[in-house]
Amino acid sequence: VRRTILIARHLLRLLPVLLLLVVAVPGAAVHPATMSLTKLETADGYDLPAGVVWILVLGSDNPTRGQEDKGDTDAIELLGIDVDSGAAAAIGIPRDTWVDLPGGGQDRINTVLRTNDQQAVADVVADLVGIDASYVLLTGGDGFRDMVDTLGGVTVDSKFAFTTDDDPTLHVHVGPNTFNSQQALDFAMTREAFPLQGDIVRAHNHQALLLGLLVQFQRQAGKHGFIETMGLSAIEGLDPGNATPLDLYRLLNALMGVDPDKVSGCVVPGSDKVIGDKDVIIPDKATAQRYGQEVRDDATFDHAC
Amino acid sequence: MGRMARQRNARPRALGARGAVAGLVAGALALVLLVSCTSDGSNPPPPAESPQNAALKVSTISADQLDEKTRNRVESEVSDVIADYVVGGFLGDYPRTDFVRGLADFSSDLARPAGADLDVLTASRYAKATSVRATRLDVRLSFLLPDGQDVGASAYVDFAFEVTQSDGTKVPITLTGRFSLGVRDGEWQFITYQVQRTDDEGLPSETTSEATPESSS
Repeated sequence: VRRTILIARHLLRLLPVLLLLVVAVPGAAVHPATMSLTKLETADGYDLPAGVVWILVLGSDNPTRGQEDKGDTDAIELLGIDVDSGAAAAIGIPRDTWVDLPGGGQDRINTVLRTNDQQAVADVVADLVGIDASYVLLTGGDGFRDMVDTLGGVTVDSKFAFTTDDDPTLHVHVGPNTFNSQQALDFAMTREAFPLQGDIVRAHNHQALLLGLLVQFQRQAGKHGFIETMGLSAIEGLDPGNATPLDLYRLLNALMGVDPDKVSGCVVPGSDKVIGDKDVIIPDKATAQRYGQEVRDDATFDHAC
Repeated sequence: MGRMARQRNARPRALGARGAVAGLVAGALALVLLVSCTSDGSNPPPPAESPQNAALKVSTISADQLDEKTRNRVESEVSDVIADYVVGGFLGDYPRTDFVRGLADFSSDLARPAGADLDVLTASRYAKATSVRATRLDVRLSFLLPDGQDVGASAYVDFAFEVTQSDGTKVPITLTGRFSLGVRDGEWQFITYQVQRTDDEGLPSETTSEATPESSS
């Protein structure tokens, strides 16, 4: 009996080792098994025609909702989206760009909305870069802030360090900056902070802001119901011109098909000049046309700006 | 033949046929679409036939922001479109080849990429199967109805099907993700899809395990 107890105690001491062997080392035998092969695929599609869809986005300096077309356009960005490839391109046009007016004469492009209408701005842009926009979306300060609030703020990757014109406490750093809606608006409006060609630098900032908004939108869109919430905010915050609420909803959905890594932008360059009492930019039309030709069919710039 | 019940958290009512597609589906497949209603989301009693397709269960996000009449109407309209897609794309008599019928309510611009993604959006790769049965059809809806105008909706789907192949093997498949629908000329139609698809193709086999530490690590 004692020998039996000793053997039992010995076995108990070995129990952890035995358990480890049983668990960790399979026996050398033939085991029927089922190998599972799971095929995982993803697919996405959007209600846009093949090719690039062009949208002219205008930011008015009249902040009041419903009065945006009474103001000057401080932001003018022509956006192209190709959901098949995920590419998107932006051509920025500085607000002081000196252009031929639809009814004759010349003036800064930012006056065209106030003296004509959204379509006239689209026509001037088409004359400059050679691309007709399918939609013209106009917003002012109130609508912009509401939309950014709906997004929950925005993170903008700034190429420049500066202090905003309207808020001396807002210091923008090179790299990512997280803004609330008012800070995003201050960032977008600032140009006095840039001693040289502030209007052109500001157009670059608009493109950085748009990219930040895209990324934030895609991040938030993972929440069930967010796209409809954003759709309502866009319907209320935008003067959509010829676009219907369904068009806005389609475009919002299509933004999910844009790859932020395939987004690029250029700003139409020009030279400073004073005409009468106005500081203007004489656009480099050849470069503007080249930009248009490069991105027209694939929303991708072939060369650096 | 498939039979699919539809379950919504709403007052029960019979579904009307939805145009030519619904008529075709009802006639050709003798498919019966039912709406059953429960307030607690529980499943209705199983019908006599077996195997039975799962009920299409529909709920609405932030439903309290819509009045009941509007919610019932838009839920019903969108559910009809989704039901037609499920029937045309997955269910019906097998073997079959007419899977493109599932895209009947896709907008013309969306039909272009959808045609290229037919293998993901439908059961077209199982054309020679014996049957396809829906085992889970859950949908959460989110509506965009500014000022009472029907504009659009997202449909977050969680679908599961079981394919029975001609050799008797069964393949579970799932389709999850988001569709969006918009209203054109008074009709809801699909305008976006962002979906994930899994096909779990079990391969029965015999394997030999070697009793070596390396193989067990």
